Amino acid sequence: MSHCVPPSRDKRFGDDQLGDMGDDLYADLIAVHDGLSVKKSAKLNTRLVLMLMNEVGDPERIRAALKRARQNL
Amino acid sequence: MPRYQYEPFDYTPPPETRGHAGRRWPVAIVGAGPVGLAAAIDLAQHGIDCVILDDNNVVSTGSRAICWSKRTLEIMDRLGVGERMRDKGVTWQVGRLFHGEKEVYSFDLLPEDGHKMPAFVNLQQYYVEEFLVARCQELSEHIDLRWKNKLTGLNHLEDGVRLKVDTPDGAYEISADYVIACDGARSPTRLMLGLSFSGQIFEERFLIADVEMTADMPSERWFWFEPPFHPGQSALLHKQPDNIYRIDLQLGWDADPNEEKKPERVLPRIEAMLGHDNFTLDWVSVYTFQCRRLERFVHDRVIFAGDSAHLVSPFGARGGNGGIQDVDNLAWKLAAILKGDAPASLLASYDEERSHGADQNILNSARATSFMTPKSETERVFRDAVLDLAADMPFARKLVNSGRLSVPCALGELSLQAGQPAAAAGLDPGAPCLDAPINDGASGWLLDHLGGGFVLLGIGTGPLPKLDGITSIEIVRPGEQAPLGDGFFTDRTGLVAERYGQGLAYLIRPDQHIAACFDIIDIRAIAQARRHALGRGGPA
Repeated sequence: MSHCVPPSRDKRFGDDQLGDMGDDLYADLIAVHDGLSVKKSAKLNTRLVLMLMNEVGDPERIRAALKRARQNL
Repeated sequence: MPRYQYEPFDYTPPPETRGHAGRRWPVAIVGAGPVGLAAAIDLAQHGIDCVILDDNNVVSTGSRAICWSKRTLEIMDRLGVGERMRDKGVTWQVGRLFHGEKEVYSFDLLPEDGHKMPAFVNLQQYYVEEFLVARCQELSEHIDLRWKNKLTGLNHLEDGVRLKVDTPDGAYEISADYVIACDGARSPTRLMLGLSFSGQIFEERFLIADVEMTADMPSERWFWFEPPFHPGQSALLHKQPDNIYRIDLQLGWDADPNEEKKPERVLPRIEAMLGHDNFTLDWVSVYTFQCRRLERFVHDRVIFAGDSAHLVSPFGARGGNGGIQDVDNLAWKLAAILKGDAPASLLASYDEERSHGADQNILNSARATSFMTPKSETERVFRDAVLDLAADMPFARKLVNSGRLSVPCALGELSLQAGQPAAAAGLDPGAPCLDAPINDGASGWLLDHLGGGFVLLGIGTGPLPKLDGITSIEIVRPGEQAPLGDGFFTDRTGLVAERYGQGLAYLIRPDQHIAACFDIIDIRAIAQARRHALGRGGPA
């Protein structure tokens, strides 16, 4: 799995970019929280969001994600 | 009163209990479930005699394993029961996922034509066993099927295994060169050998029920997360033959299995799901998810296959299908060893290849189980976020996991295939062969002609060499003149060339997996590839 390929810009917001690695990465995401309290998990998630926001780097996509995340809470 | 008519099989007192000296068997199989019966048939088709010992005398009670994958159907077709299974079963390939009242995702498992077998059929395990028993009876020259013969002990001999067996007419002992333990999740054989079974047990209980009703439901797999009729839990609905529907309902870890099996508890749950009470309950059970395996599947001359070797949680159809793939992998190797064509060390490749399969099945089942039954608050929050986002975001739909359904196992980098000849294009060594339409005098299928023994398959290669222990099959383009008959078939729709590549030749193992692929036909390389696939290769 190459980690230096930028996200495809021709894909629409929300289209799949994880491909065959989706289940593996989701499992990694769950595993990184193993043994943590809800409070510590929230702290971890906060760091994660900031780093991933930087890695995405595209203001339009970040703002679309912020907006969608706020819905149906 | 169950819908299926359970007919007990005849018990015959074994000759050993009547004072006759028993014969020594090449193979003794413990357990006459789908895996044990399939193993006996596969061995018999290789000309190997075997005895099957089963402590019972009826087929499976309740539907149990119901989803049989395309790969299993192809294996069963090679064993002579695939068409019966397909014709009796309910064919399906579409799955739908619901969250609450809304459909969030659907998938199509076989979006392409040109395969003899469908993506999946649903068929109750009792039918599969009934068909396999009938096939064993056709092969009675090689198979001695002994009902009400219970294994009570076994000891390793220098060159075999001694088995102690109990029957209604008393106990007896027999010897066999090899034993295949197909005696299920609670395998007595595994316990007798004191082998540990390690892995994960999930703290979750599911109610499983067969109900009979006349309904016009589509032949699809329907899975609900948090349905309105069963709040906070998950549910599955699957159609089976004879108007039987399979229902799985998540109960939570606190549920009392004995209470939950009582009709007064079960009926209201199912009524809430179906929205009516116009059904009858055919069978009900409560189970816990487990993902466990033996560290090694081969213990000297005792070989484990199916649930005795590995257990997975059921969403994903990886239990029964995994067991049949074990048999497919094992039988030809054991037959080759018993005939002296391969060294006993070839069995290590069964352990290696099927461990790989079991690990894939366990990984996928464990992930699906975790998704359905989150084990921490954080995991639940993520799961619910995925389900929410799945409503409008394609990436999240792909993460929704209600079971990743059984797919055939590729064996690429494992010992028997590693370093074997591969062409620049085409299928890789270790891949299972793909089916395609051919003309073999009638409208036939490629897979009908592969497997059993080694096959050299050439696609537009011109004449193939005749090699010891290898059957040659040449595929020519439609319209091209070919001397139809032995080993010449036309590529009826062009799909053989599309799926395998034009101008390539493949050496194919008896279990329809690719051993090697050649773009130049070299007799010595092909013979060497066959030796390698039989574990006689040495370094390539």
